[in-house]
Amino acid sequence: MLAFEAAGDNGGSAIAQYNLYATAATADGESTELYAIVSSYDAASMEFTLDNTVETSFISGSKYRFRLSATNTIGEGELSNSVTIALAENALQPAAPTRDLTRSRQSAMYITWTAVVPADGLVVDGYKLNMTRLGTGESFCVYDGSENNQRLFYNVTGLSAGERYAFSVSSVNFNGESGPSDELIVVSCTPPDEFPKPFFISSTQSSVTIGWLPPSDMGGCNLLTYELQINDGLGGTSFLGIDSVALSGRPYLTQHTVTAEATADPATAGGPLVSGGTYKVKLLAYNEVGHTESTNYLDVVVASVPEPPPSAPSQNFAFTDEGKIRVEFGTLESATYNGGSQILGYDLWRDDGAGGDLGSLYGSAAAFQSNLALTFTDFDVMKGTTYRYMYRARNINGWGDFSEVGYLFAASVPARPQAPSLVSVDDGEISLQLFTSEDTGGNDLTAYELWMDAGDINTAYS
Amino acid sequence: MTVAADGLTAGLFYSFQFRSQNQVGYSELSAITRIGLGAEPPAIGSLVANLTACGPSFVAMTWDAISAPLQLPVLGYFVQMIDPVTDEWEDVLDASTDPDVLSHTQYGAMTGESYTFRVFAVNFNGRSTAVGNNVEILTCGLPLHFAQPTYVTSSRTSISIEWAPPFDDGGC
Repeated sequence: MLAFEAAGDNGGSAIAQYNLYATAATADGESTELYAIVSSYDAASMEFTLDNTVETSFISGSKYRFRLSATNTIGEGELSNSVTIALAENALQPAAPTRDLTRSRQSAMYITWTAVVPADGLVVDGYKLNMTRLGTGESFCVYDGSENNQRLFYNVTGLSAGERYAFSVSSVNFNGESGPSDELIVVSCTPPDEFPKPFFISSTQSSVTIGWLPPSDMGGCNLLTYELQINDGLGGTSFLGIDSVALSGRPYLTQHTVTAEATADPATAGGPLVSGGTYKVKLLAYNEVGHTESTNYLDVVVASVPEPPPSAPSQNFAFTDEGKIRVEFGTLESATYNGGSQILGYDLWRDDGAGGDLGSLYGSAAAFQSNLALTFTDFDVMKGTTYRYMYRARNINGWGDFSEVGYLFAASVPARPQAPSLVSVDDGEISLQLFTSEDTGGNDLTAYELWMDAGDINTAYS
Repeated sequence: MTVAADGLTAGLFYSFQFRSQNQVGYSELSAITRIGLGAEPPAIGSLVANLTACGPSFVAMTWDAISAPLQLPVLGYFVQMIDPVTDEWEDVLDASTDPDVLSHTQYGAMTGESYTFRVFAVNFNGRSTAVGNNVEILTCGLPLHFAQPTYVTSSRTSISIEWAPPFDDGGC
């Protein structure tokens, strides 16, 4: 549609008619041939819609230059200045732009859009990207690509992390700029990142409590929720989300107790965790724009730490003397004591024999070495000194409590006593003088034994 | 301690060993002590000096064998003498393996000095604790080499003779 203004000066005589001239224009709008009157124009209206079904010489998508003249009774005046118009719709409105999160940063958003179809065959010259700061309402064009129709993206920088922005894109052709697309409203942030793997806190034979630290990189906006995923406990590599009700919308959580395993259907709670089963657990942290997985999964065994041993360490006197103590302790491998998982090692503690604090005889290595022996020969002892010993066991989930304290000592058997001597004897009674061992071996004597034969040569003692 | 086990038979010889026990275990058994079951020999009260066998530097004594029946035979004797220096009893004869020894001569005595002796019987279990009699014996022998008296004078109512003292006065 063309609109005209009436001639500003009719020359003193009323305007009798107008003539509309048109000529094909080159790409730069310059005419290549003489103007011709557009015959379908009624010579009087101040508006005219050119219809190329009437003016069949006009081709859709081509550009034309129009000029107007006015005629009064004296004659036809000069032609107006020209206007070049493409015979086509205005540029079409693009679809709403999108954000490429993989290329976005907390202070920069990589906005892409889709090319529009040329209107009536008129080439699209380019696009403009407008941005509105939702916090302030400030709106402006951040990218004017009206002469570059090949570029369908723009990296908007200088944004404030966590702020919300609205983006729209418009296309431009020769006739002008389309209306803005629907808005893309986004917050300037990226998915969380640097999310350490969860860690073990505790477990029982039917539950596991894991903990985690929030991602060290929140992406610039707040966390929305965590998702806990677990495998089947049988070595499977597929993870399924569980306990979403407990976790959803609670970004402040830092630990969770799992009692049910995953099933094939994430929406269905699984059965109870299998005691002794090894599960892989990982977490996903979500913010508004995406999520990240923990850097690795945590292997957890559904087991408690071992039970405290039912008895204190004891000593094997057959291998104990004044210079060493053979310490023995009971196994905790049975299901009653192992907490539901294999015992990985024992740790034996002892004091200094003077009532001091107890310390590990295995040292820090006990935490990673498989000390499964149930005996320990302690050579760092002094004859006659009583030491306090206790022990504990660990399984995959850590150390159990200590046993009761056992009081063990370095001692040997008593020294050989002096032979009995006769005090008196008569026909029916013998009185003997007995002598205790001069060296008790480092331990109090508990008993004596007197042996006597049957009174004949080579008879047995009793 | 006193052992009064049932079934002990007098006259038999029993062996005894002893050991101690602590929490680590038993000590090694002691050496064996063998004891015969029977009363110790009674005290010997028959010790007497054998004056005829004494001399100026030795004294002699005898005693009687124990005649009372015993479950354990007498195996011999010990003779003790009071040491004139220490005034303590000391063994001067160990005849603990010969029950036929029933006398003893103690040589090295000083003439004129008295010595005191006693005797103990010994059986399997050792010397008896029963103390018998003490005998004090003077170190002195009988006079010897006493010459025949010789006639000097006589009357109807008297005879005078003379003699020389024994050549050996026995030490006293």
